[in-house]
Amino acid sequence: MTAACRRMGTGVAAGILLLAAACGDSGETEGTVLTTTADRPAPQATGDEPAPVISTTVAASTTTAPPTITAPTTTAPPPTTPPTTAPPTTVPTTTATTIAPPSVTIIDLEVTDGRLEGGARREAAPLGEEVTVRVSGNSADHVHIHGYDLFLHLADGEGELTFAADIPGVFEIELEEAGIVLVQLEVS
Amino acid sequence: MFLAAGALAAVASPAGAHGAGGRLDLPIPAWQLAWAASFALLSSFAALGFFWNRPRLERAATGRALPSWLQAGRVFTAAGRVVGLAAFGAVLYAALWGTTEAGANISSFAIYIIFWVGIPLVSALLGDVWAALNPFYTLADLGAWLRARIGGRPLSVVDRAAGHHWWAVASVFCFAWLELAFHNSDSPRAIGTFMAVYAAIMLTGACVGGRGWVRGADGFGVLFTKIAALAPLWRDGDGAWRVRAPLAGLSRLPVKPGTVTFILTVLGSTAFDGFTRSSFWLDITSGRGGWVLTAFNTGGLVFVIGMVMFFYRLAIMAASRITGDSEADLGDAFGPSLIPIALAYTVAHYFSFLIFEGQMFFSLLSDPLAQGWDLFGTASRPIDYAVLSPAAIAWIQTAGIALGHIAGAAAAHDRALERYPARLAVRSQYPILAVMIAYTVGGLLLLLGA
Repeated sequence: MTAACRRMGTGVAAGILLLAAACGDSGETEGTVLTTTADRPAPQATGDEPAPVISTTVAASTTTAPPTITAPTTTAPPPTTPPTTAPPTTVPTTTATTIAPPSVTIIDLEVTDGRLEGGARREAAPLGEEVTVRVSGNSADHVHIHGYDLFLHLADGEGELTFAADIPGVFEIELEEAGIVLVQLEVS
Repeated sequence: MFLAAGALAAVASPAGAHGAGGRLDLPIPAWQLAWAASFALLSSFAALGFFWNRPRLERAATGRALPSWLQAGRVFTAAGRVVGLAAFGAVLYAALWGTTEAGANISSFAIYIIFWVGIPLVSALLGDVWAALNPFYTLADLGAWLRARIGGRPLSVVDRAAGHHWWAVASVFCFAWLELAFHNSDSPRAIGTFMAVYAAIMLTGACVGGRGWVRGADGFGVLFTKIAALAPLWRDGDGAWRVRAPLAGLSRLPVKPGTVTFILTVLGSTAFDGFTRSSFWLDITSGRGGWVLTAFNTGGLVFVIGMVMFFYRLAIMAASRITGDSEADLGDAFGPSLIPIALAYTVAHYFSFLIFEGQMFFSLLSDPLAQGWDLFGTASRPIDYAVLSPAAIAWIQTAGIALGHIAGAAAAHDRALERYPARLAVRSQYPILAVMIAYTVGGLLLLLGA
C-alpha cells in the first residue's frame, strides 16, 4: 500500500461521510405547523386490510373546523388463531382480540401564496391508519397525493381530505398547479 | 440534442417531478444496510485472496453455440424490427397527439419504465434484445440501403464504425436531464418532443455518417449493449446465439474515447435520482417549482455525476502510481467493470418502479395512442400495490447492490490478471476496490436516506 493509495483511501472515506451527512435525516424542520396524532375510540379490526378511502370533506369556511371523519366501515371478523392440534387441556383460544385504538395522523399545511409555511418536510404515518391532510391559506390550487392519486381541491385556499393510508411507501404531497412538493408522506 | 431543451420551453402543462413516479420506496432498515455493506467489504477482500489467479473471462467469452433448433431465424429478426418501429411510432404519436394527462398517457410509462428500466433488466438476463428492436438501427439500415442502392455503391461504404462515444454521453445525459431534472418530466408533450428531436438527430447522423455512426451515437443502444455483456446469451457476428458464462462479455467490450465517461454518467444519474429522494434534497428544493426547480435539479445532477467521476479518477490515479501505467489506459481498462454496479443501481432505485408503475403500461395498452380508448377494458385499472411487500423490495434492493458489487469486483479482478502478473494484479486492485466500495456504500446510504 503506497502513500498515494492511503491518501486516496482517506478521500474515499471522506466522500462516504459526506454522502452519509447528506442522506442523514436532516429534514426535520421546525415550523409553525404541527402534526398531531389524535386517538379516536372507533373499533377497527387489527391486521386487516382497511377500507380504501373513507371520507372526503372539504371545509370551505375560514373557521378551522375539527376533522369530521366518518368511522371506518370495516366489518371484518376479528382474526382468531385457529386451534391446530388442540389438546383438551390447553387454555381456550383468546377470543378477545386486542382492539388497538386507531389513530389519525393530521397533517396541517399552511400554504400562503403557493408557499408552505416552514418549508417542505417529511411526515410519517402508520400503515393502515388514517391520514387527514388539512390545508389552510390562500392558494387557489389543488393538492395531489401521489400514489394514492387523491386530489384535494382548495376552495378559498382551504380544504381537508381524510384517507386510509393502506399503501406502504413514500408519497409526495404536491401543490399540483404550482408543481411544488409540500410533504413527503412516509407510510410504514 | 440541446435543441430539445429549448423546444421543451414551449411545453406548458403543469405536472410533478420524478417522471411517472407515484410511490417511492421506504428507506431500507439500517441493519440491512450494515449487512450489505459488510458483505461488500468482505467480498472485496475475498476477491483479492480467493478468486482465480489466471484470467478467465476472456476465454469464456466465446461460449458455445446453441443447438440449431433454438436459433432464432430471420423471421424473428424481421419481426423484432417491425415491433420496435411500430412501438416507437405508437408511443411518439401518443406523446405528441394523445391526452396531456400524464397518468392516462402511455408514453411516460413506456419510456421511463418499460424502456429505461425494463429493457436493461431483460438485457442483463437474455442478452442484447434491444439490438433486435432498435428503431433507429432499422431506420438507419433502411436509409443506408436506399442510399447504396441509389448511388450504386456497396453497403460497406456507409457502414463505418463510430470512433467514440461522446454522442452517446450527450444522449443519455439529455435523457437523464429530461427524466430527473426537468420539472415537467412526465408531460407527454415533453417526452414526445424529446423522442422526435432524438430521432431526427439519429436519422441526420445516419445519412451523414452511416449506420456505424448510429451504433456509436445512440446512447440507449450503447448502454443496453453494454449491459447485455453481463448476460449468459449473446449473438456472434454471424447472428448465431451462443451461451457463455455471465459477466464474460465484459472482457470483450470495446472501449472508445468517451466510453468510461458514458458508464459513469449513467451511474451518476441513477445516484442522483436516489439523492433527490433524501430529506437533504427536499430541504434544498423546498418551495421551488418550475424552471427554478429545473435549475436546481440540473445543478444537482451535474454535481452527483461529477462526484462519481471524481472518485473513479482518484482510484485510477492511485492505480497508476502502483502499476506505472498511464491513467487514460487504466481508466479504459477498468471502466467496463463498473457496468454491474450501474445495473445494481438501476435495480436498487427502479425495481419497485417497474413492478408497480409498470402495471400502468399494461393497463394503458388498452389505449396505446392515448385517445381515450379502452380496447381490453383495462384502461382504468388501478395499480395493485400489494404485489410486493416493502420488506421484499428492500431485500431485492440490498441484494441487487451486493451482487452488483461482487460482479464488478470479479470483473475488475479478471481484467487485472489479464494485464499484470498475479502479485501486481492484486496490488492494482486496492484503489479499484476502494472506489467500488465507495459506490456501493454510497448507493446503500441513498437507500437508507430515501
